[in-house]
Amino acid sequence: MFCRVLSKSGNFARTNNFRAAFRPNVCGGSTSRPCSGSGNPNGNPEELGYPDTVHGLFRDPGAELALYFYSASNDSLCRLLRDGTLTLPTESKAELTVFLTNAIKTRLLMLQPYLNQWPQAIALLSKPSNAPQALSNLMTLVNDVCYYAGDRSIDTRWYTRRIGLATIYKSSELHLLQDGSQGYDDTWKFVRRAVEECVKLDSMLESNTQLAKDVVTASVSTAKNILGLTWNR
Amino acid sequence: MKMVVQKNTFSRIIFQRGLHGANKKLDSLIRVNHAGELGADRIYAGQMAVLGNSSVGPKIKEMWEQEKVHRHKFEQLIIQNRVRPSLLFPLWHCAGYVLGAGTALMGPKAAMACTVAVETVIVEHYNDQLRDLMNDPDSDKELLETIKKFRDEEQEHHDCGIDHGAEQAPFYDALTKVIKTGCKVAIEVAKRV
Repeated sequence: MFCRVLSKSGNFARTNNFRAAFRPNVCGGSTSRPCSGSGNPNGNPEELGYPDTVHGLFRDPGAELALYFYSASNDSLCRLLRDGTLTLPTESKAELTVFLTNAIKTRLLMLQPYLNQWPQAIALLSKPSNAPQALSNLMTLVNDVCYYAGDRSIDTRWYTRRIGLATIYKSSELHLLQDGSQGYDDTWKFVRRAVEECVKLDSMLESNTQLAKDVVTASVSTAKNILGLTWNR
Repeated sequence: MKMVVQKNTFSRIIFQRGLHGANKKLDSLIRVNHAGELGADRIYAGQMAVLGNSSVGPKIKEMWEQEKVHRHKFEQLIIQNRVRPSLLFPLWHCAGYVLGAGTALMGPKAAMACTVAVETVIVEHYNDQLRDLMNDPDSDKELLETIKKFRDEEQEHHDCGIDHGAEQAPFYDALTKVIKTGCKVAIEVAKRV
């Protein structure tokens, strides 16, 4: 949203300044009032050459900051996946599990610096006015992960896989917020279990679809034969 | 300065793709064409199941093979451009087969009438897309050529249907009208969902 507003006014280069202005504020204070001169020396808009009323540009400054952070993290995860920093899976199911677990883990670790403020951000993102955009960000995230995991399905599996992954990601995020274990070990174990189960479920569904098709074809042709309706004699 | 508030529709939530993916127009174009070719493929499959061994069998088989090539091409385009496939995939799959087999059960001429109705709508639809693509200077020339080629082949199927006596089918007018309306509705739905 920030970038879009700025690019409209032809001020694209300053986007980075904005990012610089927002970052320290999230660390320091609350996400609900990011750039409106909250007394944080790092985040004063004046220092970056903006008037202190700049926050008035944004409909809902806290939420838009959270949304911006969300999509920026998505983009950096996507770059990691594209450049192959996270190893891409081959055919085997075990590697796929490792890849998905790593992708989710990497993305969750991006939240780590702001973990104390993240529950507030979640609350802001669940507001009805922000929820659609937040959902869209989540969709972008799982779509990228699925694509780089080698998903090339073109039927309803496209949807089931993405919804499954989104569920895993969202529940792991909540798990992470409550996690007191050393190095978030509990969360990583949770992610691994969930991914393993979903990969199993996915392959089970695939083989069962084939089985269901076979059963239907077989019973239809049996019925046709009994009734003497075989056209393909 | 006026605040730019983006309206979030259901489709936009699912469409937005961060760094990647096709733009919205291309996205919808490829999705609807894939759904359409899938439907066409299934219609011919249904007709073949009923009329496979009759005199029009080889002709239907020939058209079916072309539709399979079309479908395959759009499947590739979906993967290349990371387009979201239509959510109603199972519906197009079944509806196509039922339409094909249903009309074929009414006789070879009714099957041809169905082909004529469907291909008329598809040719119109491709022509609309071609007009759009030609007006847009940034459009993909390869895509344009592909659609043009497919449009010509669909037109051949249409003419072939007329040659095989589609117009003598029982209730030709009513039948084609119903099928045409159904196809148009399906196209509008597949563009969005």
